[in-house]
Amino acid sequence: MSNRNKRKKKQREERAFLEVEREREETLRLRKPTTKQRILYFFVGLIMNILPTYLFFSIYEMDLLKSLPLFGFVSIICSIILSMGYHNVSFFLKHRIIKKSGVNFQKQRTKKKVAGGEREERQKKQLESTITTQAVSLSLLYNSLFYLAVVLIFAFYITWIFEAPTNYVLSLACASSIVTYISSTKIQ
Amino acid sequence: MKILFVILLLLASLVFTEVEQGNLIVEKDILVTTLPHTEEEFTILYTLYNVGNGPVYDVRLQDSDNFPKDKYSTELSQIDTNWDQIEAESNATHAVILKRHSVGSDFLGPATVLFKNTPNGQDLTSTSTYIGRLNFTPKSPGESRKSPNWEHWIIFSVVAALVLVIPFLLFKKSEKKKKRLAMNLRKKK
Repeated sequence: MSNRNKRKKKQREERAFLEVEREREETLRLRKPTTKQRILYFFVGLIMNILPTYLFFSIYEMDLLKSLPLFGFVSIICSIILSMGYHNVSFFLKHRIIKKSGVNFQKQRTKKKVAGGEREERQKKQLESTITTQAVSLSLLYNSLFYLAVVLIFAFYITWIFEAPTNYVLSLACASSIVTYISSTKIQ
Repeated sequence: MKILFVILLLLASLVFTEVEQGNLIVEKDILVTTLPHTEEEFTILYTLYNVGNGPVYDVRLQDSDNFPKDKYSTELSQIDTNWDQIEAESNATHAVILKRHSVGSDFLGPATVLFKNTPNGQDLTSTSTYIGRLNFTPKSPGESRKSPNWEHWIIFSVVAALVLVIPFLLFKKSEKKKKRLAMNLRKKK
């Protein structure tokens, strides 16, 4: 092979490598949730933890005032774990919806200005934000249902043999861990 | 002969005159659907039926001996009580809510009821029915989860449904918007 061809091949390989690196960085950047998303996930997770807390307080007759520190601490920790699960699923769903939509969201890296390009970019941004909303809402719905189902199974069929406070900690911790672990396997 | 006849008539009137007398039948019952556990409230109901043809006076119900204070505590009312009068062919009831604090077995015997047929008469005694032996065990952790608890589940379901309906509505709204935007972008191409 001539030197010129070798140089061209090398340049092509470098460009492909840089493209892959850029995509990986973009993916990593998008993989982190925004502050708004973090607050939303945590707030929804907290509500999802208050619901089973009500069941423990009413059915298992745990004293509300005495167990308030335990309820608060466990709810906060499990909400944080659950919020990670929410973001994992919303990230996975967003990319899936983008693929199905058939729209190319990658920015054009040409120096030439295309006619109507700015308008198209704005519409693409709108579409991307709509897809993000769709993915987030679907993730909240799916993960919340899954979490409630797992909590109820643990609280009334698996860990019911323990005392009520132990049962509470085990069922909420196991449920939030399982939900977050399964959501992380989807991304991988 | 005539004197004998008059004496016989007098004796007959004494024998056959109706004397108004009260008579109490007392029922003691426990109002529970399942056997009570320790630290669980249960209700004892006393029903006094006056089956006689006259009122009874100064009726005193005594049953504290069956529920010693070191084992039982009463909620809202006392065990021993009294009534001034119970009319003929009527009844009176008394309910006591109790709680046992320690594990154990007790024989809940009959209650004693003292009453009088006349306001200043002699004390008469009536004994109630008895409940029998009750074993008080602590409540097991699985007990409360097996009972229906319908109202708690209904509240839980309603609140969970309300919370989950919001992301569902958001999803539906954003899906419509997404379809519209995607179609616009594809048309321009």
